Amino acid sequence: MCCNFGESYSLMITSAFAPSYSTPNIPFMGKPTIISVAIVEDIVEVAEELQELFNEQPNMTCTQVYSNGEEALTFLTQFPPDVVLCDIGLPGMDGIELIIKLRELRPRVQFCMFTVFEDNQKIFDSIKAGAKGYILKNSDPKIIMRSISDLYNGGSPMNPEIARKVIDSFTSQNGEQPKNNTLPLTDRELELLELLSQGLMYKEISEQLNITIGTVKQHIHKIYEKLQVNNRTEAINLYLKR
Amino acid sequence: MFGEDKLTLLLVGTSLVMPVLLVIGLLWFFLTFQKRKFQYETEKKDAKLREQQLQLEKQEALQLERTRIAGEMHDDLGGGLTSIKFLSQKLLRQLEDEKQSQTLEKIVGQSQKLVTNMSEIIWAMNSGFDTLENLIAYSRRYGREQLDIYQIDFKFEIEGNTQGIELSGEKRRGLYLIIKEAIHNSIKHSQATEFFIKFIIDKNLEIVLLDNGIGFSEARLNGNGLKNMKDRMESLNGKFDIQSSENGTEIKLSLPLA
Repeated sequence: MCCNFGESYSLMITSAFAPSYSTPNIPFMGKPTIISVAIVEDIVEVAEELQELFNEQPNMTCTQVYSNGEEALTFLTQFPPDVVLCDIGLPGMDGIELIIKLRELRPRVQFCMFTVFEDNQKIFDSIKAGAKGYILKNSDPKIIMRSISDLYNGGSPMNPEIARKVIDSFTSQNGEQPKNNTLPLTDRELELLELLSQGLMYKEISEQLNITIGTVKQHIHKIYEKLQVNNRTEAINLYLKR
Repeated sequence: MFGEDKLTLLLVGTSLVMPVLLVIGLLWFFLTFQKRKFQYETEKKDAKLREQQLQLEKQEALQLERTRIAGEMHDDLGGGLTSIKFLSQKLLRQLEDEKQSQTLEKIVGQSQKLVTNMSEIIWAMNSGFDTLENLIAYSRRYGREQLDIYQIDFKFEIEGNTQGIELSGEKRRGLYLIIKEAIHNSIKHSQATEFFIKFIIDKNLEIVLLDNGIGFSEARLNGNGLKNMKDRMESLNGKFDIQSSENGTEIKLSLPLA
């Protein structure tokens, strides 16, 4: 399970993830990147258990846990982490509002939404506001850990419903891309989204388009960024009007 | 002489006036009839409109109620189940007793399963998803996720045009549950290495579910699982057909579109 000196940085991250969440820390011979994670979640027992899980990971640390958006905004602005795992439905200021306000001040902080169900509209709104992905609370701890590390390394998850919403937000009624979009989708990106919206998995898409899964992930990451650039003002306006 | 003239005049006058009166009478009668008829039709139209409006209001109320239930499931039940899952997981990491751990694992599994079931109900209740395309994407993803775990090869095909075809929540959920059950049966009992789903869209919607396993035993062919699938299909006005041999099982679902 130990890493070689010669292995590349990304390989080290992967091998660090091979053990299950209950395995104790594995000493690193190289110098790994430690991802600092913050949790914003109003169910205390969930937040506490997650914190322990993160701290058991050799490449993660979690010292900040908040149960509401207001508190989180104050402290996360002072001590910005790499990744915030953030519940969408919070008492008072909700997760989406927190993304908008925190990213205004600390644009490099990445957000991953943490939600019970695949509530597509809310997830989509979060992405427009700047979130890079989402994780279901129901997921296995291993998957939760892996998703955070994937996200940190540039991967973003997407489901068929959200893919459909992304396509709709980029295309007008007659199916063409409107010209006023600052960043239009490329044909490849559109093709990829179509396949995603039909329920194909990354692996199937990579086979069908003859590209690697890594490339699929890169495309999706780029699509997220375009969506955010194009819709950020809209997302902010939505929240200012409330 | 003069009197006779008067009489003639009277006669002529009467014979002239009478038809005029008659015409006026008929005209009045006709107009009244038309007016009544118009009134009657307007009332009928109004009643129909009122009924339509009532129907719409009813639908809207139903949708509102569904959204409310979905919301409550989301916030209360979903949050609660998530807590149970995380608390059990915490305990699971601390426990060393094998037997107790097994029981706890079941608790974790159950709460995860309940959240999945709830999300399926919420999916079915959301009228925003009332399309065939949505059912296809949802089933496809489920099939891929489950069959991948057991390393069963999964093929998926669509024949015909899926665009613009609506499918009510009742039908979507019914079909999805049958597809899910078929996949589950195949994984659990058939020893199959391949599973194939085909959606054929014509006048009817036909769904073919095929595996290359060992088929159904006599006992299971007459069991409750299949009967439930059949009943579910019939309650949607559709047809359910199964062919099973030692070379595999083929299930055909057929549902009239429109």
